Amino acid sequence: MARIKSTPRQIATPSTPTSPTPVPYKQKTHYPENVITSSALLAFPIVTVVLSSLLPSDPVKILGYSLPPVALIQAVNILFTNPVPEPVAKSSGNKKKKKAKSTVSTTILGLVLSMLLTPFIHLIYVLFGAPVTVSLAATFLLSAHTALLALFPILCTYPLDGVTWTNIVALKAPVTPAYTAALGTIAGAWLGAVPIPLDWDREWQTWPVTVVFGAYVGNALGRLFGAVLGGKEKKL
Amino acid sequence: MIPHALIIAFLLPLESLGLLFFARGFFPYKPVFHGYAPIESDAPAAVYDKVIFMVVDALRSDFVFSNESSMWFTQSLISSGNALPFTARAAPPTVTLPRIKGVTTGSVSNFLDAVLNIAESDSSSSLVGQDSWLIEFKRRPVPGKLVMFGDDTWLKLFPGIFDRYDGTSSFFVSDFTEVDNNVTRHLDTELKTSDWDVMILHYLGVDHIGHKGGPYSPFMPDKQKEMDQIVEMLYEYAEKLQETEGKSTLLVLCGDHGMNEIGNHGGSSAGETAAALLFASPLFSKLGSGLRAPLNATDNYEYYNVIEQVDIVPSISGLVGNPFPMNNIGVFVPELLRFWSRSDQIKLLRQNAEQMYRILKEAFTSMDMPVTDAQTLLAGNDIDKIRGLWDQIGQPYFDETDDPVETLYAFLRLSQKVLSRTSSNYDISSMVIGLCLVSWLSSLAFRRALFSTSADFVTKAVFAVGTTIYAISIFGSSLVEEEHYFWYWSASAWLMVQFILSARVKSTAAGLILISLLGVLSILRHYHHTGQKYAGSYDIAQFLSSDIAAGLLWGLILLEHLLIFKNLHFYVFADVSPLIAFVCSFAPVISLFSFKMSMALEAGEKVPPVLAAITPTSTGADQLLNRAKTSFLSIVICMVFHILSTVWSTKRDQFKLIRGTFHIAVLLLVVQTSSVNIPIFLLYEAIHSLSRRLAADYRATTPLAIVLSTLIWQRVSFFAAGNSNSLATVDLSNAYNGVSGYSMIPVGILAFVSNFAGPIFFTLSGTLQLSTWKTSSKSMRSVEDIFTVDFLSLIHAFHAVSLLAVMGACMVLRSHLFIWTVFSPKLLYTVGWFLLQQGAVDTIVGLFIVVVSDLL
Repeated sequence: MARIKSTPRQIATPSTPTSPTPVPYKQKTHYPENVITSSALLAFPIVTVVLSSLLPSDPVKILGYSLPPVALIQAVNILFTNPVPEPVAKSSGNKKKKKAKSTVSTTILGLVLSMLLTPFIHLIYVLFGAPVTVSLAATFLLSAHTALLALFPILCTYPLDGVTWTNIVALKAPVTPAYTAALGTIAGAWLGAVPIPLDWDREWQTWPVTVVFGAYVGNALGRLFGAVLGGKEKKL
Repeated sequence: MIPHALIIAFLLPLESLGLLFFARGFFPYKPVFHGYAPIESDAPAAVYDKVIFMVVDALRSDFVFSNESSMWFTQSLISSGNALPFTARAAPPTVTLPRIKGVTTGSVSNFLDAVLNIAESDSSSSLVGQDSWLIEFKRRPVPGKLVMFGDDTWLKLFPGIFDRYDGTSSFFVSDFTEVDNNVTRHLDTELKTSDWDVMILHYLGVDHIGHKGGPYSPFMPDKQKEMDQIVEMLYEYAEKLQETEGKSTLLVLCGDHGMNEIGNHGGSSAGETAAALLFASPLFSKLGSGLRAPLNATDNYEYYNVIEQVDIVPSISGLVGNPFPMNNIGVFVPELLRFWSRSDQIKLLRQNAEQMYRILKEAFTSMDMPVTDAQTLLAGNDIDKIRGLWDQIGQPYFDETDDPVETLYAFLRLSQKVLSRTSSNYDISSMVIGLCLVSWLSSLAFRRALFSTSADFVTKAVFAVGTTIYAISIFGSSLVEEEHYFWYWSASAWLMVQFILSARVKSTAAGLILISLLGVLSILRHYHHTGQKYAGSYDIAQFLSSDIAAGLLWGLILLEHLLIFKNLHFYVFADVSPLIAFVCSFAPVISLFSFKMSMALEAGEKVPPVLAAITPTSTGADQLLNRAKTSFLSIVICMVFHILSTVWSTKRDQFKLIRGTFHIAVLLLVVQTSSVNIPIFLLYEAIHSLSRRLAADYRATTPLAIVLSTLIWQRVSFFAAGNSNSLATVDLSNAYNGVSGYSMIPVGILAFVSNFAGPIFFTLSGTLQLSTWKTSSKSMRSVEDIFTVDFLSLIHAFHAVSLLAVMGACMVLRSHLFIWTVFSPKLLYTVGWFLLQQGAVDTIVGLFIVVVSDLL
């Protein structure tokens, strides 16, 4: 809670293109931390397999029922394994020392916020070509899953201010598993749309099965990538 | 002066040469016999004296046979046993000219016929000197009398063969009633005179309704009823003639092809290839078919027995006692054999087999080899099997074997299958020469695009990866059919990449522009649902062309016209006095509007009464012709004025000429666009002005990025306007604007402009964006450098690589099932993109700007 509120929202101020504002972060540097991290890394491949095997039969039902468990797994994941880059106390008078992991309140707030942003993600899916008038429920649930996979962890990881989020969009934020997992989710969902127009006439080619599958696989790969790569003051 | 332009001038002709070599080897030359079949001395007696051959264009099987059909009389003929129904499978390309060739000569047309159908060239497609069941009537000792009413394609194919005729042209697909009345009005006198042996009727109404409103158009049931009444009239005539004069008449009702779910045809989907076929005559009742009609509608359009469309040819020839045409690969329809005794049946089929064997011998040299062991041959491949079966048929006591009819059919069907395949006729060496030439040149072009252009790593990476993925995707048949998805998908990805880049330079404005562009893209992708899989599902175009949306549609059309007016006023006539500027920009817009309005009225589209009232009521084709000519004339005047005013202008402005040209060109593009597609131009204009704003933000974009966007928007707009890689979506409804008769060059240009309106728009828009970037960035790079190096080489490289990929796919997949239905049309479209869009439009516009900026 404190993390989200502590930094006032800043408007991205235009600066010269050649010198991006350096982001003052210091980072904890030990992952994979412990057994929990590696088990969390395993959790999503399992979820992926289970979901993708059940999904083609009734996407809306399966996506709906799996939403709470996925939220729970993500929350546990964030609470126990999510490393948070720690802002260096700035001159602005931000003195309170922060813990290096997400707190319960941050996690709950992040969960609520990411759920509230689901319609926004739905809109993005439509902009990228999701059906507008049909399969509304399926697209909405897909958006909810995407929110849990991509948005929820980074909401709990990065402070909510304009500069940080501009950097996140610009691929300049410090690398954390949450961040790479989000990028993996987006790339996976985008690539997941590829097989839909093929004339194989399989059940799983219906919207949004392949996109869900792509998002989960991308998420797992991204998380793995982040865990291996992250930990240093690294940027993409 | 222009070394880079010279490189293009060197590459383009050589690539075209490579393409020519490839096409020569790829499009098969099929051996066609000239001359006529020998007269059979021993042919079974004729069953029929007269034939009425009634073709209803695009009559799909379900239009007659399903329970949703309104052809109740025809169905009652089936139920009473007086008619034999079939689903006749039409071989692609499912367009009229090759299909008429098919149902008269019995040969499978080669693919180029589809192109000739569009080109409608008068001499090359004629069937003079080729055998057909029509000619066989003329070759009788007493030459038969032939009459023909309907589609004038018949007159082109059979010049001078008809004793009386009245051809109707199908230029105006918007005409539903006149085309058919022109045919029917002859029936009264012809049925009374009754001196002919063959009467051919070709009705176009169903096809026109399909093109305009799809298979379930509200006009369809009435049209079916009209056709049904004609069948009734003809059948009653046959009945009466049988009773009074004892002359038997065979009535054949058939579609030349079907139509797909949006009413187009040309491709190979189930609906397009399933044509209805019905043999009717009072004599059939004694054969006792026991069939019932109507049947429940099915998804695959297969009703009753499915036969090949060419099977009509030997069947008619046999029934009237003529020899089978030389090039026929049709098989006599088994159900019709029952008119004859068993020995006559064998005789007839044997003649069919002998005639087909003559073609086989020509096509396969191995046919002549002596047969030593028929049994092993029978177990071999198709050719061996044919030889084995032929050997059996040739045995002296063949007629006394268990089932000679069965063996003959096995031979005929297998021969038909083998002869319909065309893969044996490729000239591989010519194809390889073409392929090598193009692969060498396109790799040069690709290298140049990556290494000689200005530095921009991200764009080059996206370009290289995107082009590679595109080239690979061409090898998948469904990815060719659904190519639009590739472009929507990469357009959104490219916008996202640019969005990330804009965030990196912290340009909020650029970010907002890119999100807006994404929004426009998502409207565009739902404007027309094209391709195969989802073609015909509800889209914006369908909504706008429905009656309830007429007000909205014409409101949007009016808006587009106002926009053109504003742009002309602002960019072309800016230097003259306000009143003259107003008049000069108003005149072309109003002539355009009245032309589009009268075209819509002519087509029977719903137009809001308020607007219809202010345009003078249309008085047919002549009026339309004059209005089109007025529009073209006003465009020419605008252009001349613009050139003169630029030349005489005291202000030096390198890009003034192209800016004005762009807005005048939009005028031309809208003339060549059907009313339902005119609102797309509002979206194009939105993309154009957003992109120009993006180009003005020189930090957020680069010349190469602009060129890549141009390439992508060209393709997106092409597919969003309803085009696809199937010949079915070639839109010819605007190809005859202002042209009174067929002449190849103007009609070809008009057809190209109307189908490539979007790509042409974005070529011009792209050059304007580049000029904006040049002005705002104050870059030291010369115009020549930007346009010949960045613009031309990137665009050229993309088209060269895609040409190579398509040629490669056609080469590798030449025995693929879909080679003639998916890959060959794709090759034709690629030729259009490569030669006309890239080779002509893009290159000319690019060089034009360089030359003009040099001069000014």
